[in-house]
Amino acid sequence: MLNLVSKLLFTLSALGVVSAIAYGLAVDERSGVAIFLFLALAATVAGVATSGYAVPDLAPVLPDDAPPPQRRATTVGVAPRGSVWPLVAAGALTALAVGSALGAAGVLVGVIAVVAASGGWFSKVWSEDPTWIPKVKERVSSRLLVPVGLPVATFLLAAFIAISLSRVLLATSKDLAAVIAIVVGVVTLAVCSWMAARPSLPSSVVVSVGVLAAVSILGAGIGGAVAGERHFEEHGAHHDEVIHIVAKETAFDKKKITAKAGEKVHIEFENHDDLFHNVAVYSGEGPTSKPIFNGEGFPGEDSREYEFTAPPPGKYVFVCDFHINMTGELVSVAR
Amino acid sequence: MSDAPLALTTGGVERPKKVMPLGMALLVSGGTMFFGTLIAAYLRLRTSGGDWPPEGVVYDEYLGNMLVLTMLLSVLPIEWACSAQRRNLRNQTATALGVAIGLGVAFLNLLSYSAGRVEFDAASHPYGLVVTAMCMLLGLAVGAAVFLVTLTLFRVAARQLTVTTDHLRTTALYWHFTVGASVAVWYVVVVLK
Amino acid sequence: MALTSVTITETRPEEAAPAPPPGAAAAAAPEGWFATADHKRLGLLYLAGALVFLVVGGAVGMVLRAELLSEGSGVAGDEFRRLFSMHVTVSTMLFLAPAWVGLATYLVPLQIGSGRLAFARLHAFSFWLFLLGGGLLIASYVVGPPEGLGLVSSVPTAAGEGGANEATTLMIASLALVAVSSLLAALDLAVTVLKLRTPGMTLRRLPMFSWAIVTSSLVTLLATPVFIAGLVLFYLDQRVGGTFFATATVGSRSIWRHTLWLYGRPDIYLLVLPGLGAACDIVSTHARRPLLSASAARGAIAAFGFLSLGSWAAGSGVGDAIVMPTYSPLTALVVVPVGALVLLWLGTMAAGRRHLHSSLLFVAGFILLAAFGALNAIIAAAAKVDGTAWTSGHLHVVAFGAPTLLLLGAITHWAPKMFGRELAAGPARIGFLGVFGGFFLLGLGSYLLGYDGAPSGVRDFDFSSDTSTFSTLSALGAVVLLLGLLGFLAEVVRAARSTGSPGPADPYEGLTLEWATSSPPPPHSFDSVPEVRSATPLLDLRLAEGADAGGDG
Repeated sequence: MLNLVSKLLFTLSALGVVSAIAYGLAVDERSGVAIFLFLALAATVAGVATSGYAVPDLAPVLPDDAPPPQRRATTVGVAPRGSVWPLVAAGALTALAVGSALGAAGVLVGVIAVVAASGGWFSKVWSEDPTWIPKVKERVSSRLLVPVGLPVATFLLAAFIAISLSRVLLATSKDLAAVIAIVVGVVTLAVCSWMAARPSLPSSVVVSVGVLAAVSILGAGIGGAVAGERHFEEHGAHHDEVIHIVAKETAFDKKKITAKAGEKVHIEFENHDDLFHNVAVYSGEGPTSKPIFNGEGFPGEDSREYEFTAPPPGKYVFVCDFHINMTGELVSVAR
Repeated sequence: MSDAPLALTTGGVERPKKVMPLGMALLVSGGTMFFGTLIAAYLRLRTSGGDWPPEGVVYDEYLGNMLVLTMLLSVLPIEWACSAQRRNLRNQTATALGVAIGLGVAFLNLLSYSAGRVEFDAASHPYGLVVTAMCMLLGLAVGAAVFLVTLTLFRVAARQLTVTTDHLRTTALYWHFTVGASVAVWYVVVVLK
Repeated sequence: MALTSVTITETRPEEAAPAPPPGAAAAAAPEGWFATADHKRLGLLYLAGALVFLVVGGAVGMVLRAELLSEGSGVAGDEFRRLFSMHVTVSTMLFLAPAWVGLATYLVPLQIGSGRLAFARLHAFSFWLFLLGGGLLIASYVVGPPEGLGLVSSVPTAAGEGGANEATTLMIASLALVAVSSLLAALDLAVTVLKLRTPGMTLRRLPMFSWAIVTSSLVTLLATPVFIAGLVLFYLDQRVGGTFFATATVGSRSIWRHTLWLYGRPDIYLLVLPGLGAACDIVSTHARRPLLSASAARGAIAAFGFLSLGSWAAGSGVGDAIVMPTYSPLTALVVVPVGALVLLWLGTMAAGRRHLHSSLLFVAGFILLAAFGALNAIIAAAAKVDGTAWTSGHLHVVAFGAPTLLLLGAITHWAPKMFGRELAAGPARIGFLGVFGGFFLLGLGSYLLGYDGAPSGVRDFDFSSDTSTFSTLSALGAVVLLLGLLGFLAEVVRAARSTGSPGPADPYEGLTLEWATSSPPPPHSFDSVPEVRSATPLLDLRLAEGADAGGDG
């Protein structure tokens, strides 16, 4: 039983095959051909889906002596029940889009938001089901929510606060971190004692304080994560890493060095040959391209210190301009 | 046109209209176009000349075959769940859905393992980008299917689905779509290499 | 006869439980705007969102025009390109397409007598996604220049070394949100029409607007995933700094054109498709009779939908042919169904009892503007004009101006249903004159510029005295257009906000079911749905009532 729409879709399917053949003959470009063939397939799927009893398309048979048409007394239509969850879910998906532009941490936050929103939407659907009666509700809460859900939720809350705050503390300087920790502790203590001292506090106040706290912790956490961790220094370590390269018997002693993109690279270059040597850095194509850094050449025994800014992430070569066979690889990694 | 009476049940009450399977079927046709486009892009790259497959790309056929077999196998428990639900066997439905979830998770696990094994990344070559996109989106589609089946399992467990509801059929439609998509991706990436 | 005792129990389709008692449900207060699942509210929200984005897009367009006029550089080169891309993207993807979705969301459930959407909450989700995604799209242009010319360029945007900037990834991600939103809305509208029609309303008896919405929704369902897949490739490529869309990659150009290029996708035709159906309904309502041949109109609309998918038949060689957007031989055929529909409208008006209404002006304006565009396409093909400012003019006239006229006409036509009161004839007609005249002048100036050989979208071209005159003409058109649009919108806002007793349910002696319920309809949409025995149930009803009255008398 084909209705108008399924007939059209099957026609479209046939047209898709014809277009694929015609396009293949006329233009011979494989992606277009494939798209038309998949169009034929997809139209067939939609055609099958809309044919048969899935989409009834028959009008009632009218006997000859049928009364004239009238405004039928229908039962009053039901306005569909709305929900705020679609808005929340759309917001979560948008947060994912923003997060994905910002980086891995943003993606994580976005994914958590999307999962939470779909969970909320699902629980709304769940609670609207006719099987969800107070008795069931009570049983579920006593058997599941309290023994399982509460500890899990508490753990998640603790983890959320710990991770967010740790981002902030790691992003700030050592002294500031101590101050922030003390202030947060004191404020928490003060607010909690204030709330504890007023047993008849309206729930709206409690909820708003909770939401305010959650949002500010989340915001601070994201801000801290974006700012990145402060630079940690080990006692006694060099402030800047120095790369030692030695040239001996017309060869470098290192085949591969790494640098952090955008940061200064210090190279201590020792020449043990009588010949002129230097260190120059080129992009992947080799010494024919424009040099990224070109160190001063000098005969041995001597040494020089070179300093330059590491190029964007990628693979580069370093060579001696005087001896093309003296090469090595410079890997620039993202910070 | 009007040579048969409209299907109305007795009592003059219209039957609840099963919108979900139709909606899912139309969504599946859109999904066909989605994966079709990615495959079209892949095929376009193949014909654009140059060495094929690109130098340094090593396929592990065994992993690809296992991936598609896992998905094909999962058709059985899903259909089992549907048939059990039609006969109102709640425990069987739940068991079958549980098996399907297990197979789906196994697929995802194997996919992520394979992704770690391949010797190219998205930035290495246009080919790498398309294959990465196909595999990543396949993983997302199967992940969504597992999520959907899990939610359905919850509803089965809570006796929210009855013989007449079409949630399970709708979920099954989507699951089968992901199976079809994985077969298509497997065909172009592993067989057609 | 069982028929007369048929009652409809509206059940949430996704639950098998018996429907709640009708009285209780009807008494339940509808949720606020943020939580609504009412198709009428969602439709109005969609329309309002689209009109807000129209204002944004129009404002950007004015900045561009001002820049083209001034010889100095207020807006620098890259900035100009960025604004140009934003202007086009916002005007099509955030204004025209969602405005039609909004109108359909409001009207289709009324036209088919269901009074509700199949997946009401999914539709709400789609709206919020559109609003937030659209906002994000604009934000991406504000925070920093996205790479390349966006979707307006027929040449792929290659990824930069080391990955894209945040604005670019944000732009692509927000485009994906908007695309997903349109996909979900299309899905819901298609299922609503296919499944929820009132008994007796067969597909052949669908009002033309609903028919056009089914067609365009099905095309959207098949076409949007291609766009989303292209966005995924684009996103990954930009993100990892890959070589997929690099110029050196053979084949990436054709993939770009099939999936991402704005004028290479079927979506550009879908901006007008719902309007063709709306114009059919407007004409037959004000001619007080059904179309001369409803099946011909249905066929023409379906053919238009099919042909739109033919835009994938443009190979990489077709490129920037000047008759854009109907640049492939296959898509140039869309002239045939549109011409057939125009003939049907004229014939129906000639045969019917004409009642002139402002909305008919907009339909007439559409015909004139489309004819103007077609004429210039012929001239350009004969004169071998190169892809220049001509294209910009053609896009404004054909791809954007003509559909916008139909949209405003549809709003004028259905305003009494949506707001409970008609748009005042004076402001509506002045608005029409502004919009039509504006598009005409804008197009004329650009066409003449094109025949003179100035490039499109390029700032500060060589100013000979002629081009300067033509640019001024174009800019004048843009100003007139903006004033006309603002005037029209002000009238719409006035009508929507004005209080007092609402107008009659059926101000036009309408033919289709949306005129059977009060204006504006109650939250549950219908107190009673007339029996449907033909494509014009209200006409049948009036005839029967007239016969009864005659019999009694």
